Amino acid sequence: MKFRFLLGILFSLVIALGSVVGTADVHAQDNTITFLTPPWGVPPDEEALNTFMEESGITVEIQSVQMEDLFSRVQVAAATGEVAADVIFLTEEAPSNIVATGNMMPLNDLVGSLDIEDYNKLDFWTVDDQVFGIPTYLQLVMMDYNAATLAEAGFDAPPTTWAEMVSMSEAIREQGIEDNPVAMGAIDWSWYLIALSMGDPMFDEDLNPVFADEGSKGREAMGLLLSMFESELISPEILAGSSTQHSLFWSGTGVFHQGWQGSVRVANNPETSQQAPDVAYMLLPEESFTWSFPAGIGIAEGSENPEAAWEFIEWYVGEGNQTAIYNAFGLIPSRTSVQAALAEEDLIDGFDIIEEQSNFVNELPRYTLWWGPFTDVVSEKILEAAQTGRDADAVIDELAEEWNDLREEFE
Amino acid sequence: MKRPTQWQNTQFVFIILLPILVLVTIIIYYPAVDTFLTSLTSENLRIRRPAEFIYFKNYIRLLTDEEFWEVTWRSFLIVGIVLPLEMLIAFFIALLLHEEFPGRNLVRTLTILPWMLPPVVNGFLWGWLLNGEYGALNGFLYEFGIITNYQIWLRTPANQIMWVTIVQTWTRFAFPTIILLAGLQGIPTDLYDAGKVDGAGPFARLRFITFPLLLPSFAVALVVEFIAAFQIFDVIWTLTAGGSAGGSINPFTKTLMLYNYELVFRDLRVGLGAALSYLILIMSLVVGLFFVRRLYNQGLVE
Repeated sequence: MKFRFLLGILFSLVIALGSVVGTADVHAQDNTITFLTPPWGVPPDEEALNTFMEESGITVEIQSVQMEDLFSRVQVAAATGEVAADVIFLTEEAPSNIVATGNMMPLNDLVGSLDIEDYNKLDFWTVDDQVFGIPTYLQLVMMDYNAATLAEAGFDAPPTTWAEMVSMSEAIREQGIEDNPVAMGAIDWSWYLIALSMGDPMFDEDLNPVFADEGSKGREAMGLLLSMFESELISPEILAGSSTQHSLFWSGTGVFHQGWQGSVRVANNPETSQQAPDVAYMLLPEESFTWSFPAGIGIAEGSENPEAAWEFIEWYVGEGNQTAIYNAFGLIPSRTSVQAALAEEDLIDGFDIIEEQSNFVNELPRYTLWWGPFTDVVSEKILEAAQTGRDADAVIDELAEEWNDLREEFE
Repeated sequence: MKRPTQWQNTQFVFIILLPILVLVTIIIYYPAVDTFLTSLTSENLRIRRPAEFIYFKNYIRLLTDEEFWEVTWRSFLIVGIVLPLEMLIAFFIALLLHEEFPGRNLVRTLTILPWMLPPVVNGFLWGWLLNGEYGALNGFLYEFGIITNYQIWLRTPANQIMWVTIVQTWTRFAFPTIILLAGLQGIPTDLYDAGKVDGAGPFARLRFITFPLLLPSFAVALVVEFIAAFQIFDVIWTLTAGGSAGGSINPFTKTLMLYNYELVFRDLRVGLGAALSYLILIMSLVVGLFFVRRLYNQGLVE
């Protein structure tokens, strides 16, 4: 019996020890850092990354996750007193979701080692004079169109008003050229895009939702967007939820497409797009305003190895990696010098329109804590209204109420 | 040699079980208690201020929330379609696979195949099949002249729910088939012989012998499949949940688990999400107990 008793104790100890060892921190090595990023933030030039790691002696463990998972990982880790990763890729929703929530480390003491004047949009990552991210690429929400299809329908220039775009789309459909000429999503972006370009400021200085004012352009924009779903100028496939406006456009459906700075490069690549090689940017109609969604890279608050993290960031925002990212994804480098080098070689498609569009930027308040939840609700309401044919004014009223409720909850 | 006493045996069993009990406590019961305590607070990870103890306000908020009842109704609707469909298909396939025929083992293996694929893979697979622009289903039906125009199968909310239930049934039907097949193999052949002697035809033998004796198997399959359908997530997530809406969730196929995901992981309203987890647990328990008490026990009695 004694033997069985001892055997039992030994068995218990082995299991308990196994559990403890299994949960031990396996990343407790000195020069290993983790980089949490969405798929398009993974350095495309693997060889260059390996060279960086060999030369610096820093091992970079890349964790590629979907954007929504990235935010929840950071938040959940913070709630348990842990750090999700040393270096975090910051997307346009990051100011609300992980910067305003205090999950990023100020970089003011480190940025001196960079030629900071060369980096555009540093202000996007600066809150109360604290720099939380170094810009990696620039982005504007833009529109592009298939010039050949438009010419086939008898139009030699893109529309300058939204009404003109609708009438052109109807003509294209009537001529049997394309059944669903507009490629836009049933999402928040479509509404912001139309409303801003119509000249609606969306919010005033005190963050009141002026998009809901009587007779506002915001209301008009929502009405127009929903009517394009109702008349199926936008493909109903979008409402099925299995395609995005981008994949639809590149698969050959649509003439006008909600794109971004760099989208023409993808659309004109015959390997990825059936619209190639006839896609061009257009200046947004009417007042032409849009908003930007640049990306950055920063160090997580509580990182145990900020020096190595910073060294990696310096490499990441360097000329080589920014050029590689542009070549792979068409994302415009944040550094003026890198942009200029690409433009000089005529490698940036539609650079003149991009430059012109960048004069019309009206930023949305994405630094507020409640922007993330609000923008999710906007997408849901648009999808719901497009499916059920709800009245645009009722949707706008609900969105204004939602904005005020969230603001009250979070402020 | 002295035989161990009852007390020594108990001690030995306890020591052997101790590590497992400790692990189960750490991995399951501690988080469960912690989740319950969280459900009584206003914890929101997005707001950097200490959570307040708010008693049962989260539960009251959910139970008075229109969206909660909407997603609950939708979850039960999916269960209401999936369970009978699955059980019917599983029952007939189990009956077929119980018969002797050449290649039976191969057919049995092929039947289990969809169950072996992860639900996420099934969801994506069906998403591609049903795509209105380039989906294989349209191509197939068009080639055979069944349709003259490509259809957008997931266009309307009603269609989205219908396809979700079909894909869920496809993904899961193999499991109840295996359970029912095992149940069929456990029915003594004497009973069928006696039935034949008493003049019972095939339908009567199915009705009065097979079906009653399969009730315990049905109960097990129903409980497991109820939980799988009630807590459906992967199939909806990959088939209809996000799509063009990016981070937002398609409101027309939002079920309790997606709502829970939305509250906890997207909105970071951890307190409210924890309360919803407990409401889901209570609903699952109530229905699970009903199946077990009514069917399993009734089957054993019969």
